[in-house]
Amino acid sequence: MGVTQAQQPGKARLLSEATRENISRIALNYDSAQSVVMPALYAAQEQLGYLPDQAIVEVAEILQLPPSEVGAVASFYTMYFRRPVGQHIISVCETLSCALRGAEGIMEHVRRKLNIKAGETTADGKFSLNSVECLGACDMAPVAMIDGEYYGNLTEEKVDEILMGLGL
Amino acid sequence: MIGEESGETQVTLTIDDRQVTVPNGTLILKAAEQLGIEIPVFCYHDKLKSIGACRMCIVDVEGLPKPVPSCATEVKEGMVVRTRTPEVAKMWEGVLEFLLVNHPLDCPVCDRGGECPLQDNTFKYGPRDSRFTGEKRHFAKPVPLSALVLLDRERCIMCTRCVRFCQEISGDEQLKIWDRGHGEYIDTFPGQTFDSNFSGNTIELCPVGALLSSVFRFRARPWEMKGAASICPHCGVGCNIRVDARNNREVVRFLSRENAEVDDGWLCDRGRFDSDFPNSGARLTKPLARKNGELTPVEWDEALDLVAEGLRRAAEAGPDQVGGLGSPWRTNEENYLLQKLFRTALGSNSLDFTFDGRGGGSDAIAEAFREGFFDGSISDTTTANVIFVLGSDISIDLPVVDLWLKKAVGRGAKLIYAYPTAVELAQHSQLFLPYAPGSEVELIEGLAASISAEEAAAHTGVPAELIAKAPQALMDARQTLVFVSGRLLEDEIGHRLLDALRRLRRAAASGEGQEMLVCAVFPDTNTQGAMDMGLLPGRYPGYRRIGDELAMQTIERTWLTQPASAPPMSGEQMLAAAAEGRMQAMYIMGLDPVSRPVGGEEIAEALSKVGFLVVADTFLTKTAELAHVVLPSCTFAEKDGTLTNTERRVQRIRPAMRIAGECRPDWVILSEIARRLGMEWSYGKAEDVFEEIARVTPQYAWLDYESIGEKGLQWRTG
Repeated sequence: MGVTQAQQPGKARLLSEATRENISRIALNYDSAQSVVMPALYAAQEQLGYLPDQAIVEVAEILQLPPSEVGAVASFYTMYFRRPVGQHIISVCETLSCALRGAEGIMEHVRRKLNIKAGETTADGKFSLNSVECLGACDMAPVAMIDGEYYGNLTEEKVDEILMGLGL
Repeated sequence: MIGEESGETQVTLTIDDRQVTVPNGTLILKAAEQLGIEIPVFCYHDKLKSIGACRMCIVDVEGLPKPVPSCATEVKEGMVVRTRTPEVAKMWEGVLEFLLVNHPLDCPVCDRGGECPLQDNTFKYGPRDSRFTGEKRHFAKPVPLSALVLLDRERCIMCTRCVRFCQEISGDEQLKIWDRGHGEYIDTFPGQTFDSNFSGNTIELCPVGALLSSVFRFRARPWEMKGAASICPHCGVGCNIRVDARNNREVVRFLSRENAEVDDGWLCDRGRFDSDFPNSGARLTKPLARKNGELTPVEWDEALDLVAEGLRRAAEAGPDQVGGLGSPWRTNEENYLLQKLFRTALGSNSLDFTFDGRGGGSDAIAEAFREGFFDGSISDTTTANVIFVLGSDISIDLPVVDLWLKKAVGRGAKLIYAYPTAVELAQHSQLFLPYAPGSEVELIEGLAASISAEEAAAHTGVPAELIAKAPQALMDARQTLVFVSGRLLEDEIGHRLLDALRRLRRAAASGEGQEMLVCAVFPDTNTQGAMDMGLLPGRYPGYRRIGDELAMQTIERTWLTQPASAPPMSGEQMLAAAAEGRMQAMYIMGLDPVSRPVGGEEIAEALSKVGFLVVADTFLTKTAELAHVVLPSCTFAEKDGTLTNTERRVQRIRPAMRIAGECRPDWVILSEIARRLGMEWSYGKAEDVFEEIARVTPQYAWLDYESIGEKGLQWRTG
């Protein structure tokens, strides 16, 4: 597929050369530009911490896709962040298995500890809390994903311990 | 049946205990339609790909464990489908109950109320009540997606017809689904407006009142409106529209009235949203006559007497001192009567519909029309293997043809786009030839390989290797369709351009079964008709030369008087004569050349020297302000008549609302003037004029209002 490095004149670019190269490399693995959208967005998010609209536009430019198409994908998945997020990202699963095993209580506990609602970031920018759909680890429900790591069979005590480890 | 001829297999199935035979691959929904069995739908639309998203159309199929969406399930031999069982009824009820969970049910204040598929389906198939007691979704509303299209997200049922239109039809990818699950909504990219030439179609596609027209919003309820089957007055495509007027008093909207050969069911935004002008308070509603230097309202009789007297006196001074200008925005009937008036009562052949210069090309194009050189149609885009556009930015000149071309490219037709700059459609082409303006002839010679690619490159500035790609493509094509700018053909190079096109046709249609079709591009509404009607210097109706004995005899038999054979002046020549104070009288109908951005001042100066200037128009234009008598004309929405589009299709407009003020259709005005000049015209209705047109215009000989009907007919030669 065609990959371009076209730059809009007069606009500072958000994505670094390294990220751009990374996306171009990823693109080699796929037949269609659409297929590259998700890994490309991850690459952009890895650099910037989140996906500002401008980053989405740049990814779209690189892949020669309409920005709306890339943006719509970014907005669909909970693991792409379209607003700045905290240093640590806590995603609590609230789908069926976890819900049956007390996810609601876990969520409530985390909310109280961090004093924020799902979808928010603490004032010190340290923690972001998300409510997510099934993480695919029902065997250890209730489950949360924290900074990409899975934590299962959660109890309030276990949550306290983890949060302490993260410097709360 | 076509299916049988092409060896397509037929499938017989049973729907609600009735048998139907349809081609293999037919959707259950469409098979049911053939039996007159209604299945409710929301996301399904004939022009869009099936996605089976809304589940409204689910039906029971014997042997399948679960109900299936009939819009996404193909028929099978022996299939037994049931759409009217208690189970299906319950499912439809359930689907509607879910769709209504978040719907605000604000039908009394919704534009769609009264013509809304969601409302209709709910009444027919929905539950009496909702069990949902929670809080419905709330959004800020309405959200202006653009100056023309508003979105009420609370009413949206996420059928995604609008999203798919932007993807599959217009290709501009403007609207998308954002977010997910119960949070999802339709939007453009953050911060962008819905910027498309075709955005209004999404309003018509919307099966609820979510997408709204800022022009129509809150203007009328469906039961207050009556629609007239008419033609969009805004360009040379002649898209078929329904003109909806409220209480017969004001035009409130244009809707598409699908003509599968002209518009494919779409309208462009320019056409759709410029619907308000017939209602304008600034319209002329009473005749004006200059008294003590001021245009003063007068009665019709006085105005018409003045006009007749003024024209009579001027004509007495000599037929070379009077001239008439018709208009690409007036009907064939009106343009026809204008030339008839001048060619009979006033003895003048000085007729045109523009003040623009006409090079030698004007005569060449007339000759080409007479001999039937132009034979291409818009709908040929559905079969052509190669489509070659020369010198027209189709997206602006004939907006809806832009969609036809994209559709053609989508099915694999090769688009060769020759235009000086990289316009939008050029991006969709397989071969883009950005030539230097003025080098069109050499470009075509190069494509026809009658000169070498290198030589063509030297003239046109297009790289030789690009030009060299064309001849093979044309040779390989069974059918080639050419859209060539009428403007280019009218230019000085017109003769040579037509000759070059003839050579190209010989090259592209040299093989067995090969053909090349040519369609001229005229962006203005009825340029084709104005030319057909004889508003060309030197040509009677039907492109027959002035002085042609046979033509004069046929015309005389109908007109009962010999048509003028005086030497004609073109618009440009009339203007030059006016500037020198040599025009005694001019009649300008439906044209406002003084308002042109370039050259308007010179035209105004020349027209102010015309001894007696009559302007018939709908508004007091800058041109009308110079007139001695101003006559208030009807807009297209208040009269009958025909327009001829860029592919020579004659189509009917019909009155949609009552006539504003004291306005009259131009054909009536002209008849009144003719009567005062001693002519015995007796046209009771526009149709009578058309019958006469058919008698004196060979290309129109086989047409009448009845055969033109709802879909129009192309004229033909011989």
